[in-house]
Amino acid sequence: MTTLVNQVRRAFYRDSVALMRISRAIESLAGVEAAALMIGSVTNRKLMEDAGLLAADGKSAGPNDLVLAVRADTPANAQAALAEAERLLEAPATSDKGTDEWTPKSLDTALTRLPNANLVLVSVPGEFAAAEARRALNKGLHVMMFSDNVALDDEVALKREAQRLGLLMMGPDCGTAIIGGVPLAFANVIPRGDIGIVGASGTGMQEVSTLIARHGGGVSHAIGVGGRDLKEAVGGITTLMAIDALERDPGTRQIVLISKPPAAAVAKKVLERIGQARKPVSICFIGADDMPVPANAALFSDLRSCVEHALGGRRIGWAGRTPDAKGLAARVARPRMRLQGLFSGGTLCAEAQVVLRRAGITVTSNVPIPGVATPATAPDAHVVLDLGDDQYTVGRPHPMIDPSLRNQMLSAALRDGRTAVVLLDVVIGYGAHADPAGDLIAALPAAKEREALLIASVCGTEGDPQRYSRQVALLEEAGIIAAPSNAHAAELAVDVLRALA
Amino acid sequence: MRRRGDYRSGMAREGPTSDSPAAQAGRRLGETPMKTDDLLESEPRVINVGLRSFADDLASCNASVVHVDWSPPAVTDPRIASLLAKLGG
Amino acid sequence: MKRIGEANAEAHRRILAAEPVLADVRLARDVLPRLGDRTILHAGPPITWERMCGPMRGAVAGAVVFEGWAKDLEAAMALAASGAIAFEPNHHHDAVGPMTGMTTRGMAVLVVENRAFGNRAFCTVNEGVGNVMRFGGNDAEVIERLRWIATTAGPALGAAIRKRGGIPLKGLIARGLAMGDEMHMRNAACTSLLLRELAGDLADTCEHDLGRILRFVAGNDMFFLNVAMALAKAAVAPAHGIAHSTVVTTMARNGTDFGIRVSGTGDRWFTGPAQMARGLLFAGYSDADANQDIGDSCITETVGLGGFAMAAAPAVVGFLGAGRLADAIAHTRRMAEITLGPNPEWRLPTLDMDGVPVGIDIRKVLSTGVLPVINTAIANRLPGRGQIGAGVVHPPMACFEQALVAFAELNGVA
Repeated sequence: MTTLVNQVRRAFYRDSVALMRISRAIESLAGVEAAALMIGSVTNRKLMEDAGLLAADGKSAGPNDLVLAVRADTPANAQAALAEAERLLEAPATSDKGTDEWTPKSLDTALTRLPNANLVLVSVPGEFAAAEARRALNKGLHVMMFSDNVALDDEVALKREAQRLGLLMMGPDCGTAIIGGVPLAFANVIPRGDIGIVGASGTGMQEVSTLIARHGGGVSHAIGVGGRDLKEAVGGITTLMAIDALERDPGTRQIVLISKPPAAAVAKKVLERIGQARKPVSICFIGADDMPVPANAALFSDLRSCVEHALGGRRIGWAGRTPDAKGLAARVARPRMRLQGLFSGGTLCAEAQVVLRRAGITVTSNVPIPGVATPATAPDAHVVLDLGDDQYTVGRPHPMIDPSLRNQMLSAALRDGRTAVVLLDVVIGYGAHADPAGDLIAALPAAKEREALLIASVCGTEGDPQRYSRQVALLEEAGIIAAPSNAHAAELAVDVLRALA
Repeated sequence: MRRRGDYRSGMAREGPTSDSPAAQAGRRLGETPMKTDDLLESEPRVINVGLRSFADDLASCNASVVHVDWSPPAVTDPRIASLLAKLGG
Repeated sequence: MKRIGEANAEAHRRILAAEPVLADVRLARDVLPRLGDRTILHAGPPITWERMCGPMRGAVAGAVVFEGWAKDLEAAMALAASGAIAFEPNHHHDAVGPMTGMTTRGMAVLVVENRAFGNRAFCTVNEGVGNVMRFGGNDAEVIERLRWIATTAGPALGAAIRKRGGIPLKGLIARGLAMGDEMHMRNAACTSLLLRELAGDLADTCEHDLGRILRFVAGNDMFFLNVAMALAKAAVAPAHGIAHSTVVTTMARNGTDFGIRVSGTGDRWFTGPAQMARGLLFAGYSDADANQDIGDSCITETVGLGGFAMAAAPAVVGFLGAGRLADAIAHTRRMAEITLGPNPEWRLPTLDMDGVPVGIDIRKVLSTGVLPVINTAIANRLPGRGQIGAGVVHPPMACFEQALVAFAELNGVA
């Protein structure tokens, strides 16, 4: 008889990723139908209720409490699962360092441990992030804010304050940075070199930095500015400071700037500043290729071309033979004709749209670039989706941390009789899943049973924990095409669609 | 593509890998140091507030990092939270 | 905000600068001039008879009989209920008292002088264990013992102490911390050290009952608690009343309410419900037998001892279950999150000689959500039945919220 049990731990907090890992572990126990460990916020309680996991105990939980919920086939299995969840909650986070297990609970005491700290990395839930950043700025520390869902007003106030103090306020919604060769949050292991990157996009910076690394270049620093920095209200404050900083940095000889096309007034300000720079700048405003730029700058609408320019005009191409689009099209079961893109990186989704639009192919997207429509307007058209967008991440971790939603949608896409080609990004590096390719493949039917073609690109380097070459090998063994860049993957998809037509 | 030289303070602008001494030096002589200089020229020394996995990753790169065991503020009353912020809490 | 920082730094400096000396033992009537007839001082913030818990009512009745204001306990209760007895906090008279904390004119009190600032603080002499007034005991045995302390043991100890010119306490605390005491629930080392200090002079000056007095002190592991409480009160008093300071200068419970006072908000009490301690109960007792948190003894935590110095007394953590050294250390480290800084004269060997955390800042309590941790005895809710366990307890957050609101009003912040 299905049993639902809840347990509430009062005034108990754990970060969402740690809780998600425990939930997943519990769900794999005998007899467990569903399990969740969540902080008792109003949103989370509704999610649990909708999932049939909330009992009376859980309903009484508050935003400072933790709710453990298990639905299992028997009471004994439910209790065993709860007990295991408790055990995992209590397990020490790090190995026993003897008597010094103490972790500071506040920035002040953390500073007694690391008095010469120069950067605070904030990844607390959005509604609390601004206060933490403010504390850090008041202590004279730079801030990288991974947190999103921060009010725009707060972002503006924080960036103005940081500017006044001469400090970098990277974010909100800054997923990637590499400072002095150290990867921060979602970032890759990149050899040091003289290319400095400024980016309003995490995966954009990841794609650019990893392409540079895989083709003989290196990065001095990659400074994230947050997704909204180039909006009119924010005015590019951090972008301008980052350009200043990289100009001053003796290790940087050229700058790459990556963003969606900025608001006109902000673009003007940024381009003027670039024009005053003493170092050359390669600019990628995704989807914009018709804009006058200063003499020391060059503009590209896709990431790959921007990198090629930064590398001195070097061409990035397929290793070995370029795949035969006609031959690949023959693998697709007729009458399938539709493209579905399932991306964990928003900028990679945007770059795919740029390539498709350039090729004259009509595509829709939930995060459309100018000239592209939303899926609702043309439900049967080709579609590329950013699964990291808010609509897919309410109450669940980002797809780069938790690929389960993408895996589900991938299975659905393959079963869908219209799907001919699926485009994917496989992002590795710090912060990402331990084995994204392996996890993806485990959810798939065997290659010969698939009726659609899978085309992927791996965004990573050999130095990453997951190892670029290993991820590529896994994909290829599973019959998935591994393209040398996200742009190449989209271009191959275009060629296959044309061959199918 | 722009290739014409652009002369300013005697510096030539060429391709992305300019070898001019001034471009290499970055900073002009006599400029006051900026707070970003220390961050970019030494190394990041990080205090991590939030997801523990970020601190673990930094530690595995041998970066200097201290993790803060953050929990939401105990004060849920917005009036008190506002007073606290104003009083330096 | 800068003014707050400066005011707090001054409060912290004053607490650390204390020079507490056990100067005397005297009758309360001689050293507490405002303690009038038919007035009983109690632990915790102000409270009326109607709201008093069982042990405190029992203690009040016993105190009334002790003073001769009624002929037996029943008459005493009626007198107390009639409004004829005035009840005031010990803290309003520079005094403190453990558990029920009864202080009346005829009782002997320890006198501690803070020679750095000239102020004094007072606390009754610890009666021992079991059937004692501090747990609400009020029968003939309790009253006879209090009389003996007032007429014999107290004066004898006072004479010995005066002969020594007073016993400096700061160094004694430092030694005790290195010997496993935290001065709230663990006082065995300091009791022993004190007895060694006094024994010779006691032998020289004592006219009656030397053996009984020595055994009285030697047989009570908690004798020094009352000295520690008076010491703490004397040390923190000069830090009270500093404008713009958010440092907590009083924490106390009366068995019904928990009250705090803050340096910069004058003599206002900020109260919330006294909590139930969490810990281990002696065999045969359950949570239903326990009284709510009671006593002025958390004055020790207010100056960095007790629960704040738990790293000195890892055995105390055993009351909370797992009880590893790391847990005791973690408690002390957590208190460093909410205090201004360490006291370098009171160092903890298990923390590589870091000083105890001193100077609770209400702002830090509110922003971190970390409440002061108090080591405490758990009393039987039935009067006179004594201690039934020990554990840790916290003030309710409401005290700190109220204090912040009051502080903000006083400082023109809205």
